[in-house]
Amino acid sequence: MPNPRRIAATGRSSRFRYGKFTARVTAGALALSLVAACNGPAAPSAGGSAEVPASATNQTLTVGVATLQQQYADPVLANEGGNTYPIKWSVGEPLIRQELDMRQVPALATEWSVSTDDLTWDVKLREGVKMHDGSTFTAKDVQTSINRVKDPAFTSYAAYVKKIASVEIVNDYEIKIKTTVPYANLVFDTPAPVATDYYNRVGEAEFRKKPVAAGPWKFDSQVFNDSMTLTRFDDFWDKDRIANFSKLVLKIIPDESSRLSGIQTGQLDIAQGLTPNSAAQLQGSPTIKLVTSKQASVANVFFVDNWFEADSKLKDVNVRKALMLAIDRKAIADSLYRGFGTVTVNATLPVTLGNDTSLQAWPYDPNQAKQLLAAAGASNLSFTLHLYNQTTAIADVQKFAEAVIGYWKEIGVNVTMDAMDPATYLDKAVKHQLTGAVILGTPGLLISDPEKLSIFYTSTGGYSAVKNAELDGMFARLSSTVKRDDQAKIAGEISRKLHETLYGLPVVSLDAVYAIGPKVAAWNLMEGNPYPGPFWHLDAK
Amino acid sequence: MTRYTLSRLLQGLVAMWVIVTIVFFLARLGGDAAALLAPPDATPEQIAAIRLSYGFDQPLHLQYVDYLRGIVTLDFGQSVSYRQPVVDLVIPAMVNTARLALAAFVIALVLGVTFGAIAGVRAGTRYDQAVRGLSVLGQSVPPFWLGMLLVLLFSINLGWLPAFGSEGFTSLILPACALAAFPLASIARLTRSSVLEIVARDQTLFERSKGVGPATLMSHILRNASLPVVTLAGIQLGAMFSGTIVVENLFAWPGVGQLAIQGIQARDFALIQGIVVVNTFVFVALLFVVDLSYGWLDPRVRAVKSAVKSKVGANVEAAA
Repeated sequence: MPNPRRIAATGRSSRFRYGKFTARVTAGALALSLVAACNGPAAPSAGGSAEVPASATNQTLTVGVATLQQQYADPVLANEGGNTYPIKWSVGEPLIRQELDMRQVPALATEWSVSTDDLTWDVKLREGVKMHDGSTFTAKDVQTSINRVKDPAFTSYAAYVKKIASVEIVNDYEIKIKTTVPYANLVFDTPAPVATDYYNRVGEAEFRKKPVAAGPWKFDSQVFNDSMTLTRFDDFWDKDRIANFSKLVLKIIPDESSRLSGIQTGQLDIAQGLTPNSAAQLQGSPTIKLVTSKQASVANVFFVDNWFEADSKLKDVNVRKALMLAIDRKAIADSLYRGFGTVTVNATLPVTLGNDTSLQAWPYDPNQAKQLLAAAGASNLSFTLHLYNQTTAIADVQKFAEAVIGYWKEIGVNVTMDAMDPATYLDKAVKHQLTGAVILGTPGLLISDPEKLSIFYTSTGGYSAVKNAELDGMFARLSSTVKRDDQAKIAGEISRKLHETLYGLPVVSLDAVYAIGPKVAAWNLMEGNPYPGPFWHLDAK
Repeated sequence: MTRYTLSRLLQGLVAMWVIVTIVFFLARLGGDAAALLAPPDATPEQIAAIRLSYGFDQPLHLQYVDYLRGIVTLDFGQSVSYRQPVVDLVIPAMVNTARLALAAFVIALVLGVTFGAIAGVRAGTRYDQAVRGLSVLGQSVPPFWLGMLLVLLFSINLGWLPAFGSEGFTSLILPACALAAFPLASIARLTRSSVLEIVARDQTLFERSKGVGPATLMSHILRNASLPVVTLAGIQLGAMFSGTIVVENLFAWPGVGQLAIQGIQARDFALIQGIVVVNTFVFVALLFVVDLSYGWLDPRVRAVKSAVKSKVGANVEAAA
């Protein structure tokens, strides 16, 4: 079992200094407004250090998150999207988990192997593991969890359930799972085991409210739309991931300025989901540190016309190449994202299995872009760029769209921006009701598994931008291959194909920015993860 | 008075019925209501299951009867995004919103009436000018902006009050103040003009000439000036219940406004429908209370009702 290196959270260099607020309220709101506008916030008084005590003085840490989406307490249900993962990762403990560098490592499974026909998995389970109710973890807890997700209510497991043929308990610490098709990620995708006796006693509805699993944090209580409180599970099997403080409060604060206020006033110990502008406001503070999860997501522009039969200039690879060359991506990364962005090389990230590191990033070359457009007879190109006005994966998405459109305008391409609310946008995108181009973020956490890129690049993918038989074939081969090395080779081919075809432009990758307060001693972040958590290597002072 | 109460109650129920009926038909005008209730990535099987569980396969009139029965029994269905009964989500959120709205209302009413009344009896003085100026300001300042300023001053710079949250009395102060600014200003302005009108009446002059003490005189003035203020206060309170979205979002207040935003973002139609119906009920109930208070505050209202009743009775007799 790897022992993750403890890295103290480190701050970024100071850019701005704030004066002490000295104004007095003398008359009315106008005066108050002027005073507020002219003076910055005073910095909190406590200091930060890299020392991690065995038992912290501060036994409670509060994390301000933008959303926990549906706020499921149940770690199995909390699989509906990245914003539910803080509970999945904290309350649940899967058979295989991802390490902070995205490698898949054993958790409650110790060994696993697949039959020669790639359809039967034999999984050996860890012994001596306690569940939150004190019961001992066995194979029946895995079976119970798999049986639970057969209920259509567990929509995020629909694809998983479809591939499961049978589940057989060999003994208390061994289980055989048969699949209908080769399924490389079967063990990784298997839902976190739940305490069977407790589940059978309380029933489905009660279990969802008060779940019992085997994660490093126990569910304690929930105030809907307000907070979720977790308590440390002292009997957690992996001692390296047990925190030195006892209570973790996940506080839902949708408004970013309020999360910023929270970290400044000390109400919060960690503020998640800060945009670069907000982060810049904190860079003068001696006690509030900024930490980042590098390359947490990619801001992409997908040319969805390639999915349709109808003719479109965007189907010409040279036109797409011109549109890529026209964007000064470094300027976007440095200016709009204030250094919290990176020019991407490809649609795959360094955390993606099989990512081809020999590929070179497309340069910024507006002159060549104009020439390519002229040669393709697309000098008067115009289309609509659709986007949604709020997404965890892309900070300041509207400004990002404006910047891209601005660069395209400089080479004579006329683009109309169409911003929608997320529900409408994603619904239309899934139903292929959008033409032209769309903006979508691809979280590093998602695309660390190259097969997940099929969502965007295969004919039947949920947000597919393209119908291409060659790509369809590559992804089909990938999904039917169970050996990791073979998968990496195919993923490398896909990586190169995406780089040369540019059905989607991976414009920049963005860091996820957190502010941490003086009560936090250390926190190791998962690279490539735009969502809050996991809180495995978080320690208090 | 009983007849008056019953007639107002009946009007309230009719208003409720009209609104819930509009909500019912709006849901079905958009096409397949099951598709509307389903999450965006729902499969055809899931949509079919929703159609069956909500009875969308039944004739429309049967669906309507079921829908009304559900509202009466507080069964608004299941939230598709939260997988919980809508009522379990809406009622606690409404309680939180009520805490915030009532706190803001008390601030707005007490200060608004006090400032307005003093400005009315001291018309033309600097105090009156200050109240009028601040009232215009209070009505012009958006609550989210005021809220941010209050947080900046009282939370970040002075450290006196929490910047957000819903725990304890102190966390209520800033959002309640941000929410109270507009109704406070409105109530102060209306109270001032209403008091001015009463002060100028012969009745007040007569009472003064009789040597009635200032406290008694003020109570008479306020009671006479209260009718329009009560009407406005009732409407403002109703608006606060449904208009706290921005303030709730800013202060991370777990009320119905935040829930509505999440419901809309998730296209959770059952949840949105539940919020609309509960909000409507609250608004109608508040207006009902306001109507009742007219009769208590102003005997003429009761007298008019009695007179109408007598006149109708006489007409019936004459016709006979």
